[in-house]
Amino acid sequence: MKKYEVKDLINIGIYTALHFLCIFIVAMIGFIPQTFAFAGILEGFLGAIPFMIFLTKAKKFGMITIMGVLLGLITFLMGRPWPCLVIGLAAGLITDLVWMKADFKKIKYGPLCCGLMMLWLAGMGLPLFFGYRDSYLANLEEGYGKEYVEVIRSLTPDWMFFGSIIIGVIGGFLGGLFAKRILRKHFAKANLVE
Amino acid sequence: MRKLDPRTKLLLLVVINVVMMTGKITGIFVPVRIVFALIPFVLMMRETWFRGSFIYFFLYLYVFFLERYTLQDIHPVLLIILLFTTGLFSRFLAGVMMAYYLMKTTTVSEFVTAMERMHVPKAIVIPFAVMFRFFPTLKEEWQDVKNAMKMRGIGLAGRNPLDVLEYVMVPILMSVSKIADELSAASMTKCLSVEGKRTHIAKIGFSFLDAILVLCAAAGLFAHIFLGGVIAT
Amino acid sequence: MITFSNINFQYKNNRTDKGNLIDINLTIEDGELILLTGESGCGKTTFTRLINGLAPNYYPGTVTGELLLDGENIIGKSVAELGKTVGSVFQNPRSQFFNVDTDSELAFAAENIAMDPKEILSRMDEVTEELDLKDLRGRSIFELSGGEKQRIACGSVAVMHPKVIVLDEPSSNLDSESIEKLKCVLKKWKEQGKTIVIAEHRLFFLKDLADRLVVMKDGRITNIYDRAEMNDLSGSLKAMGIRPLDEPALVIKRSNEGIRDYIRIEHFKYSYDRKTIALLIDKMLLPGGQVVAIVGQNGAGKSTFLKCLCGIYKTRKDKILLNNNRWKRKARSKDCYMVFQDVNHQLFTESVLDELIIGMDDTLTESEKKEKALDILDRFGIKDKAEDHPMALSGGQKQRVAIASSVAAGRDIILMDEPTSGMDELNMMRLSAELRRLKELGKTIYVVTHDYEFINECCDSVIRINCI
Repeated sequence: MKKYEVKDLINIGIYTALHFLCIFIVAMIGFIPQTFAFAGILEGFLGAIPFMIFLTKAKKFGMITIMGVLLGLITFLMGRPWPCLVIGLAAGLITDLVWMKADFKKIKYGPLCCGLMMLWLAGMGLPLFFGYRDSYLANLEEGYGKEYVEVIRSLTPDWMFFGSIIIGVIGGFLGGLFAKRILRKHFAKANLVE
Repeated sequence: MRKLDPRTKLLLLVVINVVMMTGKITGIFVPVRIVFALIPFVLMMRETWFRGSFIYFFLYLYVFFLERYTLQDIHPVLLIILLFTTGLFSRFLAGVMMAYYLMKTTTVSEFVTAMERMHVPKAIVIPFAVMFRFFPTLKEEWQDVKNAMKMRGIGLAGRNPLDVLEYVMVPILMSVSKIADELSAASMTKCLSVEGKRTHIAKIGFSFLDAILVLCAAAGLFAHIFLGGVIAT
Repeated sequence: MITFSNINFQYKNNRTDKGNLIDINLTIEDGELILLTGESGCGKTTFTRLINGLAPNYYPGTVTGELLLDGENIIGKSVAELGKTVGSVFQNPRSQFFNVDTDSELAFAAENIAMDPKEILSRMDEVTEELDLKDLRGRSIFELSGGEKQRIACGSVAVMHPKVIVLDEPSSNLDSESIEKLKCVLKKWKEQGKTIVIAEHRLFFLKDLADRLVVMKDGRITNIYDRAEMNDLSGSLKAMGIRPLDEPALVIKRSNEGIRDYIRIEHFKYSYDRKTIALLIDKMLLPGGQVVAIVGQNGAGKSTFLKCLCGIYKTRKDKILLNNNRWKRKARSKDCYMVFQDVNHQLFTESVLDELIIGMDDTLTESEKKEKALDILDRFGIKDKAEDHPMALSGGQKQRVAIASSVAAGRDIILMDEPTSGMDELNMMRLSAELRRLKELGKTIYVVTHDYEFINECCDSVIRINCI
């Protein structure tokens, strides 16, 4: 395993910031229950664009994993339950393994990696599912009334958790395709990537 | 005025978010919420950011009462629309203000010092610190690109949204990639390395105020977990 | 002592020979100040990168020959290791700071080599005193001006007590007052006996300080002049494509030639936040149909003025008249085109041709647009680049693309913010010629600049904006 250089760590920091910001902007919309699915696609799509550029800089195993850890940490700082840390790490690790399989350069694996990376978003949605959900909803009912809770309940059965993961992954994949085009059209043409 | 320890600020950020995002909104959790909403307000007042803290205070007050007492028996569709705004604010606002306070009052070197005291490895500390530094730069970049779009008269109307996305993203990505290269070069000439020990001139440490706030956070967490505020079962 | 013996350097990822070094032989004595100059791409930046180790460690390439620093070959030594003896100051203030506040940045390098905190603090105070940084301590880097940032960059280098300092175009973004301050810093360092290597286009501020002037071309050292020789050079430099050694005096011509319209501005006021006013103009009369230079100190609001004029920033209750007709913000943003100092942000399509077409009048057909665009590119001498990506071009070419796209969009008023910063003589002369030609075509050009040579070359009038 090659050693990390300062440049690698700085790239991780910069692209994590950009990736997170892209997603955070969309996540604001995601609070409306009806837009839940739509927001997932959009989050993945937008987040994938900087991530794809990051892939062209990630030439060593572990860089993407570190990004996953950082994203998990941010999610945790945002008050999500602790498993989000594990989810972030896992998402990074899986993506890292696939990107390693692609020799850290085969760009046709790029969209797949973008999709897989979006698994970390599962940590963001965690409070809406599983055990978290029932007591959360019961509690919401006291405050907001039955109708609102019914809407959320109908939109967020537990299988929706996996649904939302898939939606995010699809969004990431599509964003990856778009970003691949940008890479070819702009970065390759301007000699900024090989 | 003594500065708060970055670790206290981080703990408060987590606890405020936990309580606001995943906590209950009834019973004894009403005062708990109020206390945690007040913490960023008090901290911001302490920094004499009067304008910001008052805007925050009244905005929070408004959504809090709207959410608690007004939005009970109205039409569900209207309710959902209103809840979107009030819910968004009552959940995110305190945390966002706390994050803003953290970013504004903590220097990169204090932050790095705090992380290293917590024995976080350098491979995490450096990227995290860079991230921290990079948000304001991104804001500047975004403004420049926005100005350029405005000046060239390229708006959203009548264009393929994907094209617009491309026009916005490409200059930002190009510029970010250049900044990343130059920042790396500059940091290397300043002897930044992945291995090796560093020293710190930042003085961080716990004061009386830190102690009070940590106690507050602990009490909040305790209430959250043991008095049934927690959502996990 | 630094000795370059038979140094060749070739960048790995470069498709052209730009920036490569060929057969460099030079000995730099301790305490000497070497001024490197030459056209863009002549290799002077690479020269500095070899000394601080960024080439070949960070910018990969193949290097042959020997580079001795005090008798030790430093090629292959790590950048961080060299950082203890070699300090570096860069061109771009946005990307050379790791920290967000000035104090942390001053201490940063010393912290990285695990220096004792007490020692760091005492050195910081010493440097603050020496380089007069008192008013900059404890500030956020994001609120500093370009000149202030560059002083902090110098300070953060000085804390390490380096033996050698290399500076890569440090004056690019500075006004004359900040350049004067930079000069003071360099003078101080020279008194302390530090060895200094500066790669620069603007030479005048270094005339009294430089021990030798080294001129490079296409990767080779072509001429070396010592102090005595430098004084007799004034005429021959221009022929070599090099900026003058003496700052030209501003010649105010005050010609009324070509004036067509008048823009009358009343109560022009803008502030970024509620506290500080960035721009305040009570009454102003701007001539149209000319090339007008706008000068003034950093922070006087010159760039803000341009942004307000072309409608990017909203000013309230302003009254702007174009030939006595109200000229509203919407109309202004349709008539004006601004070329930013960092032109990279305003180019976003995939080819130079598209860059022109995207802003054109929608009533034209695609083929008409293309024909017209190629025509304009031809006039600007970049027709052969039509299919290239704008970001693959050189700085001067990018700027020409931006100007060409303003012509393509049919805008009559062109605003430029510091167009000659970091530009060599050749590109500056070319830009001057282009602006004069645009004037003949009936365009009005307002240009914010600190560059007196450039003003004398092409501007008809000069307007000065002072700090409030």
